[in-house]
Amino acid sequence: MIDSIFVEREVLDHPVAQKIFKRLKYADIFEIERYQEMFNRRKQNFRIQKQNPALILAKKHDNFVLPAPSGFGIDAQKNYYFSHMYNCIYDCRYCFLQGMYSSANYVLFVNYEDFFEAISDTIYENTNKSMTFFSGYDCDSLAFEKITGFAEKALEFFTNFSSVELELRTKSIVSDTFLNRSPISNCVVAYSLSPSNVAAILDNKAPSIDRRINVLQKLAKNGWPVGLRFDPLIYCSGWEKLYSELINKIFKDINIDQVHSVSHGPLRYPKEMYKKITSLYPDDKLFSFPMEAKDGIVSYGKEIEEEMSSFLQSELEKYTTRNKIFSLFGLRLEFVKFGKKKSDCFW
Amino acid sequence: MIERSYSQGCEVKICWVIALEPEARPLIDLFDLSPFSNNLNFPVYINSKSGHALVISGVGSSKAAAAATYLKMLFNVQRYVGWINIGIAGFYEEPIGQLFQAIKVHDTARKTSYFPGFRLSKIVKCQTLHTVAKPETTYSDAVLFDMEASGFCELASMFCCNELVFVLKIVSDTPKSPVSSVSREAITQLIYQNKDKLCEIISHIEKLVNAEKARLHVPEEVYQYFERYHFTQSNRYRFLQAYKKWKSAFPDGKLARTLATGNSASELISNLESELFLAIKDWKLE
Repeated sequence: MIDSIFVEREVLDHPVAQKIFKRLKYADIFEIERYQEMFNRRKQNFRIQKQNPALILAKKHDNFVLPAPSGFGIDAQKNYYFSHMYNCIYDCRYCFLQGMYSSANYVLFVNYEDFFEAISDTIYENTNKSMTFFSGYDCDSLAFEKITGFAEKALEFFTNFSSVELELRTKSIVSDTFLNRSPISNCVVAYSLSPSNVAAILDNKAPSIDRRINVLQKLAKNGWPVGLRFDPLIYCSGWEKLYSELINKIFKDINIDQVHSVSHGPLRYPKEMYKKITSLYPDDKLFSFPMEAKDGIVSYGKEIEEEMSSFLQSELEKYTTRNKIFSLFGLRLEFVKFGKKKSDCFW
Repeated sequence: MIERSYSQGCEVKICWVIALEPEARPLIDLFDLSPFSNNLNFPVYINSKSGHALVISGVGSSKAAAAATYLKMLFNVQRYVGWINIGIAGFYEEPIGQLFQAIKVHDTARKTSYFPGFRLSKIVKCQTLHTVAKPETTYSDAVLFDMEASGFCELASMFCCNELVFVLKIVSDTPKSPVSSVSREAITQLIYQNKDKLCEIISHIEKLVNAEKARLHVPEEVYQYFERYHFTQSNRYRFLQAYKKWKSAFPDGKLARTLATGNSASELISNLESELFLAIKDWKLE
């Protein structure tokens, strides 16, 4: 439960901020000038802060829409992403946000209207190209929906652009936003999935895999396109059996036509990010694995990555057609060459 | 640098920086602190068993900063230690005696803000604090007023992570009860009357300190290898990383056995890594 809200003076009266004050009526409110003075401060301890994060309400001034890393995407010619929020209410041990931000506080940009204006502009600049907009890389797209109402606004917005796809990436089981309205064929709800016992250990505070599967099957039954994201793939003893059972469980009760796309990708970090995350959790078994550091990237190593990638590919092909399956294995090697900090861990 | 730390015969866990003797007195009693020496620039008290150290800074932001630094140097205070500034404060409204955690500290002269401390909002109310150069008499904003916290925050957050720097304030004066009427005895009484709440807060801070200490801990057996073999700083770091992974993977493993065949820093590191590689096939996540 959020008990403290820090709000930029400039957005105190913004309707979204006002709604959030009403929803979190027991929270104390503190005024600040700019979110960066708090969020980007040096010597913060992410691990301690994560025990009781505050909510920061801010205004975003630029970079509302950014191009996704070259080659990334699910079949569209142009791929963009946007982040209305930084950080996540879940505490997944492998999450790159732990290494990217020095603060575990949540930042919510309340000027949704500026995001949608920037998305409109981007759409009009690319009228003859297929496009996908991705949400949920600096946060979970839906986990905070009951407080923010952002996804609902996004759905309304994308209803008017039926040729452009929106992907909402999530681990949340919030489904009212979708079930209370007719499905929108260009809005994909994409679920991050791992084998149940892997998620039980690593996906702290996130809904169980069974609950995620129930919701995604329910959304599919109601006509919503769903995405399945096995990303990052986690290595452990018996991983083949675990992933095989997971895939079987998902596909045995889903209308395959509603599966928009399936992707899988390896666990990888830029070296500095890995160093930062492991220093936060030096005793965690996930990080005691003898990872390979090569060309500034830390990973399980080529052999394990290839083995996992081809296993996933062949398991998925038992249930769905190859054109729906996207492997991020080779793609990430390309990202490394560009030395992009965040996109190296684009899950 | 990975070096063994040496302290003055005691392991400090909590450092108190307090402006006035009447504010410090209840804590000296509560934590059974004794004067450290009679020959110091600032009065310092300590209980080496419980790990509490306290310095009396005098009034003002720069004195608070100087006293915090003095305490840090005196005991070679480690970076997992919690730092607390506690004292009286003005507030725009009653009641007198209410305890707050200041989670935003604004220096009105320098127009700089700090956001100290893990928020203990489940046990104490949180508030904004303005550090002013002169005692506040108009109480013009709905915030707390003191004269030390900003200096304390600036320096203490250099000695540990920001989440282990705490500012606690007890309301002593308001527009109805002006600062001029606050006596030494009243100050001491205000701190005493919050004793139970303070103990609860300290208990929570000690848990954070212990967790941070465990996270940063370098075991003695690691230092023993640093002494027996030649390690560059870079190899010290690599050895420590490999050791931590190895220890996490094999909590009951015997280091001497794993490293028995190593005769140099790189061989020792390689031995640790080899054992990890051999365990990949049966890798468990917990």
